[in-house]
Amino acid sequence: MSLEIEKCEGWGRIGRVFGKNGFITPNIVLLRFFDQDSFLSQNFLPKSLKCQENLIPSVLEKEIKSEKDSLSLQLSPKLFIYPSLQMQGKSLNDISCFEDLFPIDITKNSDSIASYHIIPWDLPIINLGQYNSYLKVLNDINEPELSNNTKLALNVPLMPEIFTQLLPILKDSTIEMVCLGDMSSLITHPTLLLKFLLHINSWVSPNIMLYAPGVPSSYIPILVYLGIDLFDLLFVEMSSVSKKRSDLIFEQNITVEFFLERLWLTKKALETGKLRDLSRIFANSFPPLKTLLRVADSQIPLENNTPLYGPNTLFCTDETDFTRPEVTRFRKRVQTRYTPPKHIRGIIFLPCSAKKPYSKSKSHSLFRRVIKRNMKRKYHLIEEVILTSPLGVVPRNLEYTFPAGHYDIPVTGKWSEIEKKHLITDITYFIDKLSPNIPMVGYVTGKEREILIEACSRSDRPIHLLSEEDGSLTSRENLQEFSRLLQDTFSSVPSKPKISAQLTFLRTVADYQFGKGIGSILIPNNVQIYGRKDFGFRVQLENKHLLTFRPKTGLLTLSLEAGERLSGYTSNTVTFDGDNIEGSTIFTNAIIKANEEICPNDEVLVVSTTDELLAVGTSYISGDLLVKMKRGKGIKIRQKVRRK
Amino acid sequence: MSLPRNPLLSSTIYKLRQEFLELEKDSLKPKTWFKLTETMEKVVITGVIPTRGCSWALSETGGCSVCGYINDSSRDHKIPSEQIIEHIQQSLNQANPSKPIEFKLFNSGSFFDEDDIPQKLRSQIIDLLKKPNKIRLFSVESRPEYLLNHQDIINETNIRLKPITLEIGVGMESSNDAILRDCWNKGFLLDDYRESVQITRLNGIRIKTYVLIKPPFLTELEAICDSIRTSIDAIEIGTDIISFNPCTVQNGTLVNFLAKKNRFSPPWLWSVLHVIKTIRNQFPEQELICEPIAAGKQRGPHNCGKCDKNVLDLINRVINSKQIPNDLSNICPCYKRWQVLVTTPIEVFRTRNHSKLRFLNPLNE
Ligand code: SF4
Ligand SMILES: [Zn+2]
Repeated sequence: MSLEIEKCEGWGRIGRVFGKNGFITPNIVLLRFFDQDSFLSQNFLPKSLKCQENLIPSVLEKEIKSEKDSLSLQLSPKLFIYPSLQMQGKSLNDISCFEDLFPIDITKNSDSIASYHIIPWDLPIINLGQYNSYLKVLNDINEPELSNNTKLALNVPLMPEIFTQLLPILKDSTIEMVCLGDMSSLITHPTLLLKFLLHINSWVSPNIMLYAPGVPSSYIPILVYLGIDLFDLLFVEMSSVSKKRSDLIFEQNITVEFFLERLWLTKKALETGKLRDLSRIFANSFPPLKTLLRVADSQIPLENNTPLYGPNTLFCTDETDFTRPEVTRFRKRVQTRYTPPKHIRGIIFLPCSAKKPYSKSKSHSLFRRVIKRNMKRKYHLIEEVILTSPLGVVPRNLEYTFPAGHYDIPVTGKWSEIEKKHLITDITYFIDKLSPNIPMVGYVTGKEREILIEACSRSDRPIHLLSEEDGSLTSRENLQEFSRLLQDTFSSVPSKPKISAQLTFLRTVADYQFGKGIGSILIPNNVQIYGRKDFGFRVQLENKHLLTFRPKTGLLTLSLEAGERLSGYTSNTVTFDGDNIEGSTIFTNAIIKANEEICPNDEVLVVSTTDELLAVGTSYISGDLLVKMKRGKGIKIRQKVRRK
Repeated sequence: MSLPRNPLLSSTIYKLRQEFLELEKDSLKPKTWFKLTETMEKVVITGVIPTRGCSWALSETGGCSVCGYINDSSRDHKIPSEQIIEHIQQSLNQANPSKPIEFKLFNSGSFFDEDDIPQKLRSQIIDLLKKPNKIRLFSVESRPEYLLNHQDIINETNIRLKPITLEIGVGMESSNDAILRDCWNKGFLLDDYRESVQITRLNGIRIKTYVLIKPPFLTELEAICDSIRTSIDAIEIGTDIISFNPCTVQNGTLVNFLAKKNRFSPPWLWSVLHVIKTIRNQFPEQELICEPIAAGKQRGPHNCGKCDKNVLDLINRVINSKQIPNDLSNICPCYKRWQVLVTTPIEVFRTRNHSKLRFLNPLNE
């Protein structure tokens, strides 16, 4: 049994655990408690709950009435919990072989459902912080021979000192699940919880599933987003006896049904690329949850595992979205990878529009008509730049590129301090890349105008603005003043021979996608460009297909030809173990190296160990996961080198 | 079970105890304490006397993980022998002369340990008790090793006491060797207990077995199971009476250290009730006692705070073989909470750094 990743977002993933009785994560684990004493079950539990091998299901399962729920739980893995070594009458010193750890022979588990067995604790060792002795023993005993459905799980409490000890035992071992035992006591301590997750993530291989016991249902989306694969029904069970009505709207009268529905919703969100959005919705129900989401962006590198392009629309509805990975990545790439084309002699800053891409909006078609009319043959020397929140600065040539062509924000006209701060930073980055004699016009009013003034004064650059501070930019008067402004500012710009706008456009996108300066390497002047922006460009070089621009994502897809040109230049490179790729998919076990910055949906070059180009394709997962995952799809091949 | 003790545990206990005793050196005073309880048919005198202190606790093994009685013992001070004798005499004088007396004398150690109680003091006490001719039972405590190694002293004492019955309390705490070693740090194993009890009973001496409820490290459920199992084993080995002692948090102990870190909390009174009820049902004739110390307080066995008194009453009723309601959930809503806690594995997962498990629901903590 082992895990394959089917889809990811942030640290969240849909996993498929293969095997005869596989299952899908995120999921619920059904807990089985080893019956320590028959007196107890006589006194606590109805007879009907007792089952073979002395393992009692957690009480709640009897309350699962709805057929739908019991059906969905049939596909959930089981987790067996055994008494501590002490209760079994053993101490760590008595453990000489694997069988000694358990009160029953777990190797002969014939259950039809995937079963995981928690390695019992040695209590003083754990509680006195001597986890390493415990792990050492586990490490020293022979690997167990388990049946295919039977796997081990390790419970890990919040003890930072143990994490360094974890690595050797978790690496290549039969442990396939880690239980984060202290998770439920940490949920109202978001910063600690995040620290715990960071530790775990740095030590536990992504091939291992993470299970968080006893957490409330409102935490499911965000915890999945932060990498948790499995949950349980303990919270429901514990809430059933609490007299206090919960303050949390999503936990009121929580039932198994609701709990499972939240999980189902989370899975759906992951499938459709909306997990972050769901996390935000739940985060708004409880301050510690919100803290968790806010702090996560600054402390956890979520970017690399967030798809390069996502769903049709990217909603940014509150301040947590200003720092969501899609936004941060766009801003970073514009800051570091974008360079204004060499021939540019003037800049016009414009406001954003609700319709995307901007140029399809009424306001932008008006603006552009005015600009074209005034600039005439110098039009191609002017760069239009859109100021917006939360993306910051969007050069016209990137207006199709995800998420610039896809985001949607609530329109209020008000800017928060953080939005202002971000925009000023981005404008400053942009201006500092321009040579000092390039004149700039700002056709913006209101807050954008103020922000633009502030950014320009910081960089000590003049900016030509509309006299009116507020008011409609589409009014006849303002458009007339815009005309005058353009005439005055750019009249001295010398005209230059025309450069293909399409070529500049494609190169800008290529830079954004593959790194600064890649555009001109990938796309030489003598290419033939077919099609239209809105329907996509097909680009050929010497009658061979080079690349395609897809307007839906605003990104390029590469051909083998393009791969050859990029070889050695782009960091989007993956090393394949072998020199003959079979089929149209490369699985992760065949990948020995991949650049860390590769994200899901990224275009990648597949090379051999001797750096020979073998194929081009799209990555399913991040570079880190491409290397670390033992199973699952890695690269979808578009075109590969034909061997004779 | 090669090693009789767990070095990690024992050294931790030793360190903690030494630190405490050193810190409190000047403020700790040996204490004498006497109490008289009169019932319809008898007078019970309970006395605690400050002898030198339990040798096990004073040794480098650190002593038992929950025991802080050493704090009230004389240790390096001179044993106040005259005072002890005087107090015993006083309490005997105060007792109602028309009723027989049961005299329980605890030295928080071993009555037959020469290092703990000098031979002279022991004979003085015995002589004192023989005089009034009304004492029916004399009850003391001892660790099993003295029952095994000092059989001569014990037999002699027993003969001198005649016709007073001698009862010796043995702190067995658990019949699980791993728990004895890894949780209690008792320094002996089940076989030592078994042997000492069997030998001692041959001489017509009564054995009282202490069963401590809830050691450090175990979960509430594990502790309940262990106490039930232990009681059954003790009865099978032949104890005359079982005394249930719910664990309390005492200064200078490992348990205190863990409790401060939220890694230990004393048992629920529901757990105590459950253990006793189970044993009572199985052994209707068995003599049982349970007099919890600090019950209802944070450092002692407790429930939610509202029902502690009621549940203590129930415990007493069960001890005295009286009926109690079948459905306990009507007594207090916290019963359900306790039930969920023990039947749900949540406690198994947590190390309890940040949780107060009595609240269960992490959002209410
Ligand atoms: S419990 Fe008894 S044996 Fe253990 S340290 Fe205390 S007095 Fe000594
Ligand atoms: Zn109560």
